[in-house]
Amino acid sequence: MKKINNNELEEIELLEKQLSAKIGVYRDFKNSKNNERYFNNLHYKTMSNLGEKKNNSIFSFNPAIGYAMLFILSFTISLQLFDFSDEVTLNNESFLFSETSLWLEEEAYLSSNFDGDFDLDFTNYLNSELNYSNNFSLSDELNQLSESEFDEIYENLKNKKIL
Amino acid sequence: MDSVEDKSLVKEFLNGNEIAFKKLVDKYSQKIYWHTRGMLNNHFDADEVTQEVIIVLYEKLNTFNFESNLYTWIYRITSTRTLNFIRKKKVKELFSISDEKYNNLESESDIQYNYEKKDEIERIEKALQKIPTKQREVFIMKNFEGMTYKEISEITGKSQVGLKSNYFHALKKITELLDEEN
Repeated sequence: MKKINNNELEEIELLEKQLSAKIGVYRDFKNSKNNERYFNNLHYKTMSNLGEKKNNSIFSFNPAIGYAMLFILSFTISLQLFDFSDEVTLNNESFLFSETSLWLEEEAYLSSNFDGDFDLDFTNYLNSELNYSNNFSLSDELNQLSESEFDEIYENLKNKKIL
Repeated sequence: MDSVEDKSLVKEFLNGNEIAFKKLVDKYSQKIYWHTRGMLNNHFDADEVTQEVIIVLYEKLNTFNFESNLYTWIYRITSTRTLNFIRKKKVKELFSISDEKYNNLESESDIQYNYEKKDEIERIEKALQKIPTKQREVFIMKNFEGMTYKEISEITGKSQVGLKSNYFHALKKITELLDEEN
């Protein structure tokens, strides 16, 4: 930063004198009694606004709490999905419902496009699916992974804050 | 500034005396307002920042360490809040986000509406807005508030040499701008 020399200091004094008259009106305006009403009410107005803000904040949605709730919710769901016990913990009821509804849709589609009713043997299909689910083990899959592959998955889960 | 009285008021307020806080607000609100007004060039923004500063004082006075001058502390908060407001406003303007809350306000709400020399004041305020923020700040503190370079340096954290240079440039530009208008 360049230092101010003596000439510039003199120039500053001169400019201040020149400006003094011009900006005198601004100083008068600042000290005008017309403004008293505004400043006299300022404390009351600010405190009222602060009180209102505090009251509203009790009832209003707090984004921080929202994010915390979302995090807890997603974490809980993650735990359900990433259950490393011997069996997959998909809820069988919802699984059946989902598959059944798809199956019924399939049946309805086939019936509407071809002559005659279609009665698909979904009981047999579901039984085989359930057997597969019960025998399928995620831990077996994990055991088959190499150490480096497992580390990669672990780090990935950790980085995504699932773990 | 009477720092002994200030510190006594702060202590009273921290002991639960709300009237002590009102006294502090009455004492400093004009200084806060006129600093922000000079920096922001309109009453509505200045009013918003002034209220924001008062709220900060109300909530953070317990962190005041009594080592520095209360006046310096308040001015530092005012300066920071005002500069933040200017930055936010720039970003809003960049994305063409207008402050609709002011669109419905009448000019009567402005503190200067009834002032007889309104045009002259507007000319000075416009000239202030045409100089860079750093220069404007030091100009307002030095010329309108009558602060020393040492005081300004304590508030802004800038070197006195730098402040003198900024002030010199600000003075030259403001003089030129006001001469041009004439």
